Amino acid sequence: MNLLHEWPLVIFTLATQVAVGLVLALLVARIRLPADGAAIPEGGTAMPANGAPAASPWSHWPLLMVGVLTAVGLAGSLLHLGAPLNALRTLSNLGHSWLSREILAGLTFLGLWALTFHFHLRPAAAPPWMRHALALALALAGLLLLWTMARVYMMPARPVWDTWLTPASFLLTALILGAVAVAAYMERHPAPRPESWLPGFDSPSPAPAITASLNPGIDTPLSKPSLPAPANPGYTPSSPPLARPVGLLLALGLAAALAQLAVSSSHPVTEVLRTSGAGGNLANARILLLLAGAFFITAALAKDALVALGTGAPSGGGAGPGSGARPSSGEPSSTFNWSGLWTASALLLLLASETMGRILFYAMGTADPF
Amino acid sequence: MAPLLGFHLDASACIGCRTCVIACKSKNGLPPGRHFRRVIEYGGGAWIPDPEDSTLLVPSGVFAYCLSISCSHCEDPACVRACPTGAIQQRPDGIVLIDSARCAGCRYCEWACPYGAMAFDASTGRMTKCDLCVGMIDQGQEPWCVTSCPTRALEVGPIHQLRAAHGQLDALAPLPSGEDTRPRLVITPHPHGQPAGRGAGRSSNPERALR
Repeated sequence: MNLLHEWPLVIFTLATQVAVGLVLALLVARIRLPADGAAIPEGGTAMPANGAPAASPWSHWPLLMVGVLTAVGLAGSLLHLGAPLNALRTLSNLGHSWLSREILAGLTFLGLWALTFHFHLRPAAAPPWMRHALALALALAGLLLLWTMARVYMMPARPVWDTWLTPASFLLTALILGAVAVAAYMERHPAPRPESWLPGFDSPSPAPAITASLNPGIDTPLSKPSLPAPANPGYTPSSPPLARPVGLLLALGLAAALAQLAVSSSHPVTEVLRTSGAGGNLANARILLLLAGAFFITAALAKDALVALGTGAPSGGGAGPGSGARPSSGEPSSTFNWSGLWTASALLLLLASETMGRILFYAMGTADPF
Repeated sequence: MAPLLGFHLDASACIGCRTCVIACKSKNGLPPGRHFRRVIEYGGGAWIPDPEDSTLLVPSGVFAYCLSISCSHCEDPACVRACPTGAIQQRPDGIVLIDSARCAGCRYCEWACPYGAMAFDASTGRMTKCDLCVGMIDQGQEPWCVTSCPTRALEVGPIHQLRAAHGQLDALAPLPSGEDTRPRLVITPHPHGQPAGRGAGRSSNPERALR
């Protein structure tokens, strides 16, 4: 079998699924679980002078990546066409063709992302209810995109694809990579406050100094936050890992990885592949990398839990001076920033595993029909 | 009203000579690697040691037969359903045709067709397939594959007449069951013909059948 014959589609499906996964993970990250002793610090209701909430600089990058990945994915699918000039015609058979429906879902997702990102950069331009609705619509559009994408493959002529395992593995790919990517990002770029990429969902800003330096209504530079990271109100040092967004995301990623392990191990074709040549090696490698990624996520969670239980110092799950996070202003960083390396490594392993899994998916489905 | 056309394949007469394949390639100018009609060889069984003399091998259920298959011009074509541009349409007489001007070359129909009838033309970036020699049909002539077959294994005509004359069987292993797309195909089975989906053999030339 030609393992790399469908590489544009491998890129298209992976990129769009990661984009949807990022959206779902960002939505999870904004859910703040109550921690013991959580309190909003005094003076924490400061708002910028003009009364509008500030854009959250740290979440510019994850949200931007959603759009970049979706655009890359759609561009990849264009490359796959034999006659790209007819690309727009592919929306012509919505009545019967799941491919037409998937393309429409992808364009809808991209359009909603553009609106969401626009109002993320200019939060003053839309009322909070609109930004909430837009964010939820984006998440729903993402799920719809995953569903239509899976239905494209579920047809009688390809029995290997025509099972519930196809949509399950697409959703799990999105959840695994999205959750771990956002967790890795959050660990290396701690949020200045319990974070929401929906400005309307924010808790009040903890310190006037931070928000006053961000001017809403004007283009917010897409720079990494260079401000000191105070402890997150609502996340005391002894908060269990799952009470913090990063811990929750890591747990979600781990659960999804284990589910994906079950899905790909139980697929009957995987059994056949494992005993045969290059496909078999790839199938085995895919499982091993998935296990390794799950192990690294577990290590990251365990590290958080041990630090929280032991020293009481804030761990990498949130922000804090003792976590190895960004040093406070004025002090040069003299040590390598180790925070989030377990999670970043897990992300690389899982990305490799999911890529292999997707290559196998196409290889086993596009074999000769007879 | 035009009668709905279909194929009759007499699998007991097909000898796998591939004259039909070459005639079709010749007529349509197909390059190496692109086929509208394909011949599948299907066989099975085993050779086992003779119980009386273990140095000898004797056949046990050995069988083989050939099927010549192109587009089945189905009643509910999967390609028409799948095509996102609507480039594939079915004429009133049942012939399924691709409008090259609309085709975007996404190859989704190639996945959707249970019979592997779709062929991608790399030089134009568009899909092509058997068109039942529609130009010749419109002039009252038969397709080249039918005319060229030395054993007269292939026949084209109104499907209701073919079914009346040759029965209702529309699938034989390794072809898929006709439930999904309802091919306008009638097959006279080979004496060792196996039921679709439950064949005891395997394709002995899967690479060559589609290349």
